[in-house]
Amino acid sequence: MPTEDFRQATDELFQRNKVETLEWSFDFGFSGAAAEPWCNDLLDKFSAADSLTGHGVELSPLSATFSRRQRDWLAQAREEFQNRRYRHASEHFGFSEAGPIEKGAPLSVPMNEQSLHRGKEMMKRFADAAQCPVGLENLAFAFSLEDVKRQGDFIDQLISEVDGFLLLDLHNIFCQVANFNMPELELLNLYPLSKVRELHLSGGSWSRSISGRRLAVRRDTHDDAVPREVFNLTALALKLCPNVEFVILERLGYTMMEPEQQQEFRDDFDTIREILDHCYV
Amino acid sequence: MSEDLKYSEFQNALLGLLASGLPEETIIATLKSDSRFDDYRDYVDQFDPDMVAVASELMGKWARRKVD
Repeated sequence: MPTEDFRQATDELFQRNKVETLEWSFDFGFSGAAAEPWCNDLLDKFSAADSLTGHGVELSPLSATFSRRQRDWLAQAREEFQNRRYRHASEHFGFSEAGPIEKGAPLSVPMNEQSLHRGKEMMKRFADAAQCPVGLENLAFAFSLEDVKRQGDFIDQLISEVDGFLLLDLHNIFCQVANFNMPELELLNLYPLSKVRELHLSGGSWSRSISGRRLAVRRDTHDDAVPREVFNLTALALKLCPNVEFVILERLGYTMMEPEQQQEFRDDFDTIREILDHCYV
Repeated sequence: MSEDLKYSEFQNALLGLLASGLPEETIIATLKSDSRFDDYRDYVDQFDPDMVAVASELMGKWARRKVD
């Protein structure tokens, strides 16, 4: 995230050359926002080293209608991927644009013939714009247990259209394990694990259960340290996914304003490093 | 109505309702009672009210409306 607290938290990691890969939400500037020079310097450095991955936020791949906004997004993405070298590009499963809403958080879709067709078409457009491998990230959000159980196979069908990859977000998996009482291994095995090229780790939060069916609802808010459960899932996923190339620690900007939070972020980074060293010894 | 149009109208209605601030039970009931979405009734029947509340909150926090 191109924010000052993120810069402060990560400066030591970059200075000590601990970071091997950088991931950039490449559509950050599509609406006119500009990243600070320090951020652009990092992006250019990692791109030159062939160590930059792209993660879009606003495409809305499963929207029913192909909009002018999406057309413009793809054109801007094409230009971005011509200007900077990325190892691959990902987006979020789901949709966020429809009716009166132009953009927002991705939500799940009814997984039917129509959404599959629309999604496949959009993945082809995405791949054509990026001119590098493209993939989809699993969602934390699901309207129902059925959504949870079907998401893996549906994503597999979408990425297969473009010989793409799965970005497996382990905090999102944790959210679904917690919210729908799914066993971890059972849920992971519903995904095309051989197609996982990248893992995401992050923290989140708990909110109140409106219905009272649960003690609390786990939220993928990206605003806290990585829970122990997600580190455990990381060790498990690394055993199950033979083709992982990138492991990314995520954090929302303006959520590490205190030095203690920034240190916690660095500690989480080091824990990931230890897990990787243990798994790939 | 074609299946593609039904899918489009369902998404439009779903996001509109989630952005409306209506209670989750009302959102679910409205979708189920709309005859345009008879084909989606089983899907909506499975909606978890907690998750609909989460979606509404996400809309409130992150959604941007189209500017005409």
